[in-house]
Amino acid sequence: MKTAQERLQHLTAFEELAESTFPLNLVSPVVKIIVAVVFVVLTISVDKYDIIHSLLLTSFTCFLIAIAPLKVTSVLKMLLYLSPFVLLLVIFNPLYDKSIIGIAGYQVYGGYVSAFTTVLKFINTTTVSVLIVSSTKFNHIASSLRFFRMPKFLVIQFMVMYRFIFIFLYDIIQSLQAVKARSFQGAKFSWRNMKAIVSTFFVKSVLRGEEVYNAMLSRGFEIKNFKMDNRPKAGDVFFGFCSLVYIFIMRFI
Amino acid sequence: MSHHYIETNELEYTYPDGTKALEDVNLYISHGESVAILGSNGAGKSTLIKHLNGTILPMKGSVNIGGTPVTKKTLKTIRATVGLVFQNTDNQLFMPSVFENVAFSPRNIGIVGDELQRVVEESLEKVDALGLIDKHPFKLSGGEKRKVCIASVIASNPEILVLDEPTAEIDPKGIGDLVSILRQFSHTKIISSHNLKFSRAVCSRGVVMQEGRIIFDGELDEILSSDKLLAAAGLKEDY
Amino acid sequence: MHMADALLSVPVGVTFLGISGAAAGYASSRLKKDFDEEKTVPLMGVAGAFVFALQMVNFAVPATGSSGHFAGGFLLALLLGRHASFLVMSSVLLVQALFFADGGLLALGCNIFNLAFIPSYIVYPLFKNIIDKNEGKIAIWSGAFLSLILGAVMVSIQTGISGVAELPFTNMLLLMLGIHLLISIFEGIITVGSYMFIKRYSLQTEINSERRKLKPYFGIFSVSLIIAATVSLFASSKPDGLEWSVFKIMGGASEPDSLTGRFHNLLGALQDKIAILPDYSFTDGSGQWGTSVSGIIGAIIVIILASSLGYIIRKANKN
Repeated sequence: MKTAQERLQHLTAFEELAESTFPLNLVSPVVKIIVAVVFVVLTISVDKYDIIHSLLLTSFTCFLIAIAPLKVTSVLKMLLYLSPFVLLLVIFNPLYDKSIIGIAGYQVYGGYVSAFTTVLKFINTTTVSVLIVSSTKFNHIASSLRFFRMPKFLVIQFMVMYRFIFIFLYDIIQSLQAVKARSFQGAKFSWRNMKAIVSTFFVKSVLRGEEVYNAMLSRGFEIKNFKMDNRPKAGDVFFGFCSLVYIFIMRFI
Repeated sequence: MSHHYIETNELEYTYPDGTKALEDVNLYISHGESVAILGSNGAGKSTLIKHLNGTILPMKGSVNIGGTPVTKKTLKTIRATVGLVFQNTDNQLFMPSVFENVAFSPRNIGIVGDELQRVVEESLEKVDALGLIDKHPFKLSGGEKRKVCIASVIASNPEILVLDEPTAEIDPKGIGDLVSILRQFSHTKIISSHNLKFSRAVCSRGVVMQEGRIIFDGELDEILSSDKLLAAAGLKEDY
Repeated sequence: MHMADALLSVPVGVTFLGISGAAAGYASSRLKKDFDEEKTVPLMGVAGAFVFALQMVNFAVPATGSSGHFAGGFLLALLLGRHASFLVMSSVLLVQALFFADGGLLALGCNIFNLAFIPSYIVYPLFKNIIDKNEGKIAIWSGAFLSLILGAVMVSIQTGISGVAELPFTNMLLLMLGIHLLISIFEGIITVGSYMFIKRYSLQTEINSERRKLKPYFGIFSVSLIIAATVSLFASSKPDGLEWSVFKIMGGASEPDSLTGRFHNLLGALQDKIAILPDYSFTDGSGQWGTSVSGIIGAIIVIILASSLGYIIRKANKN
C-alpha cells in the first residue's frame, strides 16, 4: 500500500512528465483518449486463448512506450505494484481450466494460455492508459473531459479536487509524523487512531478548502477560463488515424 | 477608473455562527497611501480585509473600489484591481511549483507562452526570489513562501495590494527583506499586522480596530506614542 | 479492491460503464436543481481530496497480517447526500484510474458502480430514515459494512460473468468476502466515529440537505437482484468454467446453461440486432488459430518493429 509520501511524489512526477517534450506529449489530448479507449476495448475483446492477437496488440504498447515520457523502468515498477490482484485471480486458471490447446505441436492446458493472455492484456491496457496520462497536462485532461460532455461544474470540481489532493497529501504526511511521534506504535495504526485522524482531518480540510478556493478566486480562477483549443490539428488527426488503423489491423488480422 | 481609492460605508458583517465581526466601519483610503490595520486578534482586521476584494460580501453598507461597488457582478474587475495576499501561505501555494503558482493569476487573464515566462520572472525578481522558480512550495522556508505568495499576486498587476499578517512565520531577517520589497512597490498598500516596527517601516497611516469598530484612524506615530491606543491595538508588550 | 480491465469482458465493462454514466447524468441533473455552486463545488472538491488522502492511510487488520484501507463511500453519502457523494466518489475513482492505474478505463464503470453507486444509491436509502431518526451507531456501521460487502460481491459477479478468470464463482466469492470481511468491519467503525465527531462540530456549511424520506424500494430491489445473481451463479458454478471452455472449443455444439453462458448469448443476440459493439469473438472458437507457431513468431517480430519505429520517432523528435 503506497504511503502518502509516495503518492505525492507520484503525482508530482506525472505533472513534470506532462511538461516534457516527447512526441506523445504533442498530440491532442482528445485524440489520445480516443485511441486509448479503443485500444483498451479491442485488447480486452481478444479471446482468452488467442495469444497471437494479444502479442500483436502488445506491439502498439511498445510503440507508445518509445514515444512517451515515462521510462520503461517506471512502467515496469508500476505494473509490478498493480499486478497482485490480477495475478491472484488468474493464478488459478491452470488449475481449473484443464482443456487442451495445441501450441506449436505441444499439448498445453488451456489454463496456462488464458493466464498468459490475461497477463498480457493487463500489461497492455494498464501501460497504454498510464502512458497517455503521463504525456498529457492535467488542464488538458480536464478540458477533454469537458469535450466529452461532462457537465461544467463537475469538471471544475474535478480540477479543484485535484489541486486539493496535493495540499492534503502534504498535510497528511505532516499529521502522520506528528501522530507517530506520540503514539509509539511504529508504522501501522490502530483503528482508534484512524477514527480521530479521519474526523479532525475532515473538519480542518473543509475550512482549509474554503480558504484555498477563496485564494483561487482572488487570483482570477473562473469557470469559463478553461476553454481549450480542442480542434485537432493535422498532426493529431494523422496520429489518431494511423493508430486506430494499426490497432484494428493488429486485432483482426 | 480615474484615481483608485478605497471606501467603505457603514460596513457591517456578522458570521453565520452569530459572531459580529464588523460594525459601522467607515474608511477612506486614497491612491498611493500605505495604511496599517492594527488590532488584537478577533478585532475584525481579517474580516475587513476580506471585504476589500469581495471574498466576503457586505451584509450592510458598501465597499467601493475606485468608484466601483463590490458586488457579485463586479468581482472580476475588483479582483483585477485589488490583489489580496492571505495570511496562510500554504493555502495559497496550491500549485506544485513556484513557477506554476506565480503563473496562475496571469494565465487566468489570458497571458501565455513567452510573455507568461517574462511576467513570472519579473514578478519573482521584484520579490527577490527568482532563484526559487523551479522549486516545490513545500520545500520553502516561511519567508520564501511569503515572497512567492506576494509574487503570485502582483503577477497580474493589481493597483492595490492588500496583505493580511504578512510577517507571520518569518524571521527578523526575512521581515527586513519584506520591508525593502514592499517599500519599492508603488501600489496603494493596506497591511494588517501585529508587528509595530514592521508597520512603522512600511506605512505612515494607521487604523486601529477593536471589537469590529474603528477606534482610531490617523498618523501611525500618534498610535505608537499612546499607551492606550497601543493596548487597544493589542500591540502593548506587557510581559 | 478495484477491478482491473484484464479481468473483464467487453460486454460486462461496457454495461457497467453505461450504468455508471447514466447514474452520473442523473446525479448531475438532480444536484444542479438546488445547489449553490460557489459553496458546493469547493466542498465536493474538498470531500474528494479528503477521501483520496484517507485511502492512503492503511491500518493493520489484526490476525491476518495484511492491511486494509478506508473506502469512505458511505461516509460521503452521509455527509453530502447521495447525489453529491456519488459524483465525488466517481471523481476520486477517476483520478485513481488515470494517474495510478488503480482500476482500468474499461473497469471504471464497474468500480464506480461498486464503490460509488452501491453506497450512495443502494445502501444509503435503505438506512437513511433510520439514521435520521436516532443517529443509531449500529445503523451507520451496518450501512458502511454492507456497502463494502456488496461491493465485494459485485466484484465477484463481474469477474465471474466475464469468464476470464477461471476460478469458480463460489471460490472467488469466498475469497473476496474473506478478504473484505475484516476491512468492512473497520470501515464501519471508522465511519461511525468520524460521522459522530463531525456532527458534534456541526460545520457551518449546510452539507446534507436531503430532508425528504427516501423510499428504500430501489435499494431493496437492487440488493435482492444482487443476491439472486449471486445465488444463481453459485448454483451453476461447478460446471461453469469447464463447460464454457468446452463450448468454445467445440464451436457451439452444446449451449451452456450457466448464467455466464446465458448472459453472453443474450448479448450476442442483442448485438446481432443492434450491431453497435464491434464484432469480437467470444462465441467463435478461434482457439486453434490463436496459437500457431508461425503466428506467434510473426507477432513477436511485429513487436520489435513497432518498438524500433517508436524509438526512431523519439530520436527524431529530440532534434
